[in-house]
Amino acid sequence: MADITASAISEVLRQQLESYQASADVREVGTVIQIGDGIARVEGLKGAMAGELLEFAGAGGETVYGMALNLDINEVGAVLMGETSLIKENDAVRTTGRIVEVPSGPALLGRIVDPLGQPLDGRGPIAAEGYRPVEFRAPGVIERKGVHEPIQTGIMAIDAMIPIGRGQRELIIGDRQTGKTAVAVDTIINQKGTDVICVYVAIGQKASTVAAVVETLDAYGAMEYTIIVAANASDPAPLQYLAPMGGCAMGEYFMYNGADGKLASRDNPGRHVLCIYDDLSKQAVAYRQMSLTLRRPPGREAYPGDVFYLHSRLLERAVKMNDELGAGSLTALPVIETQAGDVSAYIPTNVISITDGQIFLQSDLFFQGVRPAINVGISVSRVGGNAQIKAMKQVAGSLRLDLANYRSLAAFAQFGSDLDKATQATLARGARLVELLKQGRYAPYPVEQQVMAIFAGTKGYLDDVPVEAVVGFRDELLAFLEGGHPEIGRAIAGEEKLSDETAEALARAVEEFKAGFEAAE
Amino acid sequence: MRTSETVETLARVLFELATLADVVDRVDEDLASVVKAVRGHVELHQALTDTSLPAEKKRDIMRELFGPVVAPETLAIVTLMVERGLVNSLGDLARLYRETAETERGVVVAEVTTAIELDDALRERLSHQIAAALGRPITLREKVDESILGGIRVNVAGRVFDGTVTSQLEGVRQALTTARQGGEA
Repeated sequence: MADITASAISEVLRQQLESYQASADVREVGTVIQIGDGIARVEGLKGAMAGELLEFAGAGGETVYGMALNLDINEVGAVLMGETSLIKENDAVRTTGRIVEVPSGPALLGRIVDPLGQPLDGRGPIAAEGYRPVEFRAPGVIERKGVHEPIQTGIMAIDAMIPIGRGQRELIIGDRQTGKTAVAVDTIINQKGTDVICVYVAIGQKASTVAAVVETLDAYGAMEYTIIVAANASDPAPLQYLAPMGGCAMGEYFMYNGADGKLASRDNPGRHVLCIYDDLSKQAVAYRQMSLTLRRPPGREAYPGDVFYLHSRLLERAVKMNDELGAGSLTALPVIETQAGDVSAYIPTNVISITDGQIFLQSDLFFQGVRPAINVGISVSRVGGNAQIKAMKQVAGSLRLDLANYRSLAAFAQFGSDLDKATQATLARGARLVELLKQGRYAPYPVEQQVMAIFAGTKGYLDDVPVEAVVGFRDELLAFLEGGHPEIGRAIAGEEKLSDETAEALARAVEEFKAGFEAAE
Repeated sequence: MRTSETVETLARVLFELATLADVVDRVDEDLASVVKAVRGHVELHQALTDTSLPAEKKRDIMRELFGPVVAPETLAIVTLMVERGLVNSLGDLARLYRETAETERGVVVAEVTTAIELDDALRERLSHQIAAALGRPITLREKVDESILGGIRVNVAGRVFDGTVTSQLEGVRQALTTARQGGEA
């Protein structure tokens, strides 16, 4: 071990202190009138800004930070973001002149942080490049452009029928235990090897659940391009309220700046970011708690009047920037948990109306073994169609149609052989397509494999395969195509559009495989 | 009459009483200490806001607690407010009283905290400087607090000018614990 001398230590200290400029600062000071339920009423801060960071000085010399929310004539209502028991009535409160902000920069990648950017993973301090305000104005019309590139989730049902574009806001909605987080985590895992940076914001979840997600992401090598922002169930409501905005601010850094950390421009492209807010219903509950304790009037379901604005301004920060501003993007995947499938509750309707589509997960599908339990009938993507590669568009068109026909006739399935030929064929096709779209966890398919599998399904190659053998057929087919005909996959990925020659080659290869598969049966 | 109007009237009455007895500054200090005591002690606050406790009892509590320490004018008004159930407006009374005093007398009170007592020359310079900065005449209220070690803290018009040694040391400590590389983005 190298010797650490006293002079070396004092040299470092001297360097650090040289940059410190002693100044007598003039700041507003108020006193706490009343404290309780994590909020404080403060007297005497006439110049406080909305959302300003306040410094509460406890009697024992501890500092607790708070945020000014209610600005009244003679007092300020503030929420505390730390140990509230340290602060008592008559304690001094100082303004800081700063709006609440979070550290930003590439150093955050691979880290687990709290909503204020403080590390939670015990891996030491984060060398942030700078700070960004948690509340940031969303880009205007001129700064944007249409969503046109896909973000591949690796989940066939989504990429084929509910495609998500870079810069889109797509809601993941469903009851508890329907696999909402699984869809989100699979999407993060599928971004490996692409240029997409992921931010996973866990709001009001059990710490053990967050730990499990982190472990999964780590196991699949996804942590290196991911930031985890965690406000656990035990954290105070203000932190849970801030978490999505904090996570969004950390993601925005990458979108607004190029790889060199300078502002993005035509020559310095901004990066692509995927933000997952898991889940916004808990954030709304935290905000409701804050609002009620701040004595703001309650509205529907006791949520405050501005809970819609809370979510709309957060999701409006999802954007596809225009080319002059670096063409970066921020895709938002908010998650909403419904109670017993009730999508007409206040928060679900709000977020459904804000987002550009939704992925519905249903527990009855989940228990029927359709996993991911996506109800493709009522799931939509309002802009994603522009963001599908051509080959996928070609094969997925008939998939959607076949499944719709299947659903309209599914009630007749019990009549079995009494049905006419055409109906029987539709039902057989539909049952096999539903089977085809089943997919395990952490097993994303690259888009060319998805195209090949759906091609086999919609062109009728599965119609005479027994329903229970479809998943096996698909997996073996994909393995066969990758091993025996890698040029087809390359062609689809390369040309993006399924040309006639490629389609022909693919059809021949599928037939060749099917002959072998049937012989083996 | 709304609560705020009642409190406003009481503040004005208190100021007039204090002017007659020539204890305007003392009453200001009294009010601050009464507000601080009532806010800072949960039991006291609970007793004074307890509706099951008769008003006479509350009056006795107030007299016993504050009688020996505050001016009789302060005690009279504050006790009246407690009897009327206006405990939570005591802070407003203190604020309105100070505002009335400042506008009526045309001076602002500046609270100066130092580690050792001010001498006359320093006092003179200080009041000049502060009055020039505010554009209004001021009166100094001096406090000696050894815990600030050195330097000076001026508390005027809701703002604090903090030049004490303790807060400078605190600043150094902050700078050392949050030292990091890189600049603001």
